[in-house]
Amino acid sequence: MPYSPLLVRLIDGLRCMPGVGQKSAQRIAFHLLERDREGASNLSTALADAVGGIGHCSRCRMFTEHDLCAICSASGRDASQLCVVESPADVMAIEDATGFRGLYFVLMGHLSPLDGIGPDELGLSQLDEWLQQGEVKELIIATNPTVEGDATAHYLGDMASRRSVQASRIAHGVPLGGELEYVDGGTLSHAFFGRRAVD
Amino acid sequence: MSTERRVQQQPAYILHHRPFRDSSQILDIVTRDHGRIALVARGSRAAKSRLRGVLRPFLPLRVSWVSRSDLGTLTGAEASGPPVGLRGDAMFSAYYVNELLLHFLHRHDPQPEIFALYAEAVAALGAAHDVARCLRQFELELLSLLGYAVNFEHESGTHKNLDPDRHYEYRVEQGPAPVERSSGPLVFTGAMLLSVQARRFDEPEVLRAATRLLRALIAHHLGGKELKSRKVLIELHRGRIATNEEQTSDSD
Ligand SMILES: [Zn+2]
Repeated sequence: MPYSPLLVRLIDGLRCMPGVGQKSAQRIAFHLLERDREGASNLSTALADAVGGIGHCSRCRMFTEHDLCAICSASGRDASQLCVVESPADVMAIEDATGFRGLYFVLMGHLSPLDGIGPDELGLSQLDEWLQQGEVKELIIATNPTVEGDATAHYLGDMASRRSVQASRIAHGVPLGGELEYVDGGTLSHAFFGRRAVD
Repeated sequence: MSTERRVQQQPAYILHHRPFRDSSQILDIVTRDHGRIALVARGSRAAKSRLRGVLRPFLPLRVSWVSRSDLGTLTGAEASGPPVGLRGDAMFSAYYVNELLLHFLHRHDPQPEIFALYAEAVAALGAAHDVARCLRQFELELLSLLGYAVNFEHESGTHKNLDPDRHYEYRVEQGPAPVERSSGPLVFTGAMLLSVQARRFDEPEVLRAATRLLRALIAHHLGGKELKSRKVLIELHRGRIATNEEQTSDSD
């Protein structure tokens, strides 16, 4: 017997989540309907509110429901240091591990020529304008140590030097080919303070 | 029932990779003896995976896999040489080279000569001061190994040897056709075409002619498909030119 149209719609909807295939979607749907209708209802409101309300910070591209994110609008952050990361999770990781007091720029990815992801997709002209304003003295490049992260770092370093901003890249401790979000805090902290100039 | 196939220690390069599920990747790789294949690298993005530092584009690898269907499973990978130091333009050009292979190589169609050419091109890009020169060299050899060799020898139609003092228009499917005009997008002197054939790329005008000719030929063989890596390269250059222009006008 086929599932009812609403159930089919729910299962199809759940499959948009990364790593969730037909089987898991089915299991999640049954669980929510049978065991946790309240959780399901909260989830559906949270999703609708998030999708309708969350955009990007007009300054650093972090997710936020305001014009400026919490970090950009906080007082007491050091606007002379700007740290470039690939994803919002990297911001959280650095915030938790390092006590960094500067600002961030979130690329939401990395240069990926074969996927057509270039400077336009990463908002690099926005970053360039920021550097041009002259407030930033040091650009800390915290892209992942993957080939694409390296390529991105190289380009950012180039960009910084054209704007006469000193650039450094976090280095030691992060394993080659790794992704920042999965590195433990101690390692990340070490890497962050052991950063070096981009050559 | 399809049979299981195991391949051990095959020379290979990763052309492209994309994340798959939480901690895996799907790799598009070119191998020496099995052509271009797709493999799942299970758990290769996990924090503790030893593959993370190994599964990098442009790094010469030996890979092992098992396959029952079109998509195989990676069972091992190790670097078979030092990483190539690709920086800046050389790195982005290497992606362009990868994209050409992704387009021109069919799956499971071994092309050991193209594999060798690719390995050489990546190494050359790593060592090169002149990226354009490496790329033209690669494009010429690639077209010829694919059976689209550029005709530098004979006039189209008459099969006469090229006259260095004449002008020719290079017609994509036919070759150089004698023309009376001396300018046009694909009009070259016979001498220039012979210089391109002789790869005299240390002469800037020969390199420029080769770039013009090869861009048209490759666009033709891509059948109208636009290369993503080229789009990105153009954006990257545009950013650079924009700042240079601002700085020039600032100093006025
Ligand atoms: Zn912000």
